[in-house]
Amino acid sequence: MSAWRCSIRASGTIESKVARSETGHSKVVARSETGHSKVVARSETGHSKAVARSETGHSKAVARSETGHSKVVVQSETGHSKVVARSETGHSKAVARSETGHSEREPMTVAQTAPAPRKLSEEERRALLSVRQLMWLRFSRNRLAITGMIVLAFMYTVMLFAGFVAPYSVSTTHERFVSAPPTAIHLVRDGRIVWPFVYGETSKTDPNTFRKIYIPNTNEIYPLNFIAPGETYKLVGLIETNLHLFVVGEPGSIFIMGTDRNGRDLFSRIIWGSQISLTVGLVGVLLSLTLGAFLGTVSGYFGGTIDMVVQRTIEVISNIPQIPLWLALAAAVPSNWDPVKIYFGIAIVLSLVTWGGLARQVRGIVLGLRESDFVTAARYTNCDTFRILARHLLPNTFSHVLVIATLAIPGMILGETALSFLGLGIRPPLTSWGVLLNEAQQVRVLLQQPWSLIPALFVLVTVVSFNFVGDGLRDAADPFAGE
Amino acid sequence: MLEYIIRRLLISIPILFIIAIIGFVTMELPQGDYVTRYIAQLEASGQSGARERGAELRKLYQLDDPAYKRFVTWIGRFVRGDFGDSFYYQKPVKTLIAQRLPLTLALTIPCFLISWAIGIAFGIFSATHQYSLADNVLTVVAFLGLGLPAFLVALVLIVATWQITGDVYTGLFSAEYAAAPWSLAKIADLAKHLAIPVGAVVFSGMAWVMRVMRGNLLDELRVNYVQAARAKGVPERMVIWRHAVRNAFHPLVMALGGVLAWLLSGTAIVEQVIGLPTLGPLFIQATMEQDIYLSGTILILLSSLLVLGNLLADVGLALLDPRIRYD
Repeated sequence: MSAWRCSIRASGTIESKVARSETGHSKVVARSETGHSKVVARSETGHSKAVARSETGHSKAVARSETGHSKVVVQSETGHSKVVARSETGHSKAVARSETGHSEREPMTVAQTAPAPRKLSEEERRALLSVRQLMWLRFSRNRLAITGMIVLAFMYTVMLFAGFVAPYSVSTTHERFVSAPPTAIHLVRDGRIVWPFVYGETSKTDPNTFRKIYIPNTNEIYPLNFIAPGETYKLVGLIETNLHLFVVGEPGSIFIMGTDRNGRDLFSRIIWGSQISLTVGLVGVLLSLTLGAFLGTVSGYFGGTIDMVVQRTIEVISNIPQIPLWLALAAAVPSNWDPVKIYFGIAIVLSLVTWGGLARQVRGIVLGLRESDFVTAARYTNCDTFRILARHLLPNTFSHVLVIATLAIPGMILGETALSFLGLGIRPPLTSWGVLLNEAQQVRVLLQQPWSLIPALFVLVTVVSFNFVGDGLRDAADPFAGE
Repeated sequence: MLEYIIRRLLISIPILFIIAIIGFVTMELPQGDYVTRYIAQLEASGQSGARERGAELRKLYQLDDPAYKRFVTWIGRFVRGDFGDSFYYQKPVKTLIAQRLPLTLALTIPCFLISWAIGIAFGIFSATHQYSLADNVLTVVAFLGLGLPAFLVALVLIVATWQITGDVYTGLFSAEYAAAPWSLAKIADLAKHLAIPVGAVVFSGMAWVMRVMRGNLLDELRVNYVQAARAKGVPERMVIWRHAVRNAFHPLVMALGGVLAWLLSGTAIVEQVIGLPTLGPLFIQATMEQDIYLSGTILILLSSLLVLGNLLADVGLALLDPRIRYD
């Protein structure tokens, strides 16, 4: 077995290639041409040359020779790899070579030197990080993205505990307070700072405009009670309780964002409405992602007729203007369906229009990966098609798909808002921010109760946060760009 | 190139035909039809002869024929330039669109020009002054524009102008000018009324153009040829305007493909909010009322413009960038 040459070439993702030669005078070459691989070349007997070579980033190349007179060469040509060359017996030469930055080099000849533990520098520590850790590092340094993330986490938490945060239920009407402006919360009474309270209000009809006006009654004082009993509701839809974040004692009432034409508390309705507004986009993106990622992968991998059919279909859909198609499809959702059906109907409408763009992007990525060596290698090792698609191609598109999906959510939220605003999307008795804004569509109502525009603020904050997070993810998905 | 254009035009015929089918099916999807609801309304208001009128209308519009038959009749007429009649207005669709087209374009073309001009200018400024105070301010403005759809901006502007001036600017004219003959005062009044929709649309449109321009220019400025140009002493102004900006235009030129269709429908919801007699509200109303020939015609018209626009954009891209060839 002398002068035997064992060569294995691993190119690809999350693959571990081990080339091993057990007899002497052999040359062991393990080579990885693309990222994320672990390359181990190991020669167990003397006079061998072990060469592990990683040509692209994020790989770990380990060449090890366990007996003497061997030459160990580990070479990493691009960044962020860990190169370990180790020769365990004497007379060997260990060469670890890293041609570009950010890699850790560890040439070691055990017989001669024992590795002394030492503190790694910041740069060295970074070099040891996995791709995922690098992405997170990059993402967490993006202040806007983190802010967006925190805001979204907060909003989704509030959404989950809507019953607790909202002082009233989504449909509680206060007949005495129709189109009432936001209730003022006072802190100062008789020149002293006191526990926050609100005044009771009496309504009067303005003799000139015949509109209701509300006059605070300074004798009636209702202090704010935090975490106090109010209306009964089910927490997270499970536990029955009557505790609310803040309420005022009966017969007082508090509308921090005013009421609508039916005397329903706008703040409570916004909080309850977030359950639809914040989720319909996610469901829509999930649907469009499933369809888009599946068809994109299949279309890009197989090519030929399937690709042609899928591409032409996408072309047809992309040639219909988005907003009119949304309107037309939303109008087709029957208004007499039950709420759950309408909710999913609208989510499907939102996704039907957008899956094409997603499928195209996924196809592009798959097309690039299809010809790569690791897919060829997988095919040569009798990997079945499904496994290649599911284990090799899809995971590689994951970070891109995540970015695309995150950036698609704001569009869906805006789409739902626009449709519901026009009365074509979510319809009462369901409540979403778009439904709430629908009231503001009539200019007369809008001018009487300008606070009915407050839901727009929630839409704005959500959409901007998603944009921040999406931009942050996009930068993080490619952790080496711009370095 | 010519061959490519002809090929694209030929391909677009089957595409448009499929879009026509999709459009027709979508319009047919809602339960019931316009005449049924119209007759129900007539009966509810106690008018006599509603049923006879209904039967007459159903026969006139062939509503009792199977859908595919109506589609064939409709598409057959469509290619000959007869788009059918609107149920609601009892007028030919062509007349309705022709009536509303001038005002729609008068509104959207300035919107487009202004928003792209401002967006491109701010985008370039933002990219060349990255992380400066002005860049940060513009970025915040851009994110506001991206987060608030134009129709909400319009609502905010309506409330704001009402708070400041005490006047409500909706519709096209104030009451006193609506029937008045054209005069300078009437034009001024019109301009005042159009300021809100134009402002709202420009704000949103500008935000998007600005973000795209800024992002692309920043990417371009990192590319080696910029460094090479700087190294050989090309003045910075030339580096940016002659080299980087020109290459950063690509995505915008691609987006121009959608502009033709956008001019007719992109501002629909804003127009609806303001109550303008333009194409957008006509389409929204037709969709809601199941006025299928009207909404179907507009949908196909928009799609044709999109197909044409995309072709023009591809040709434009080839002119802009000699690396792109289509044959």
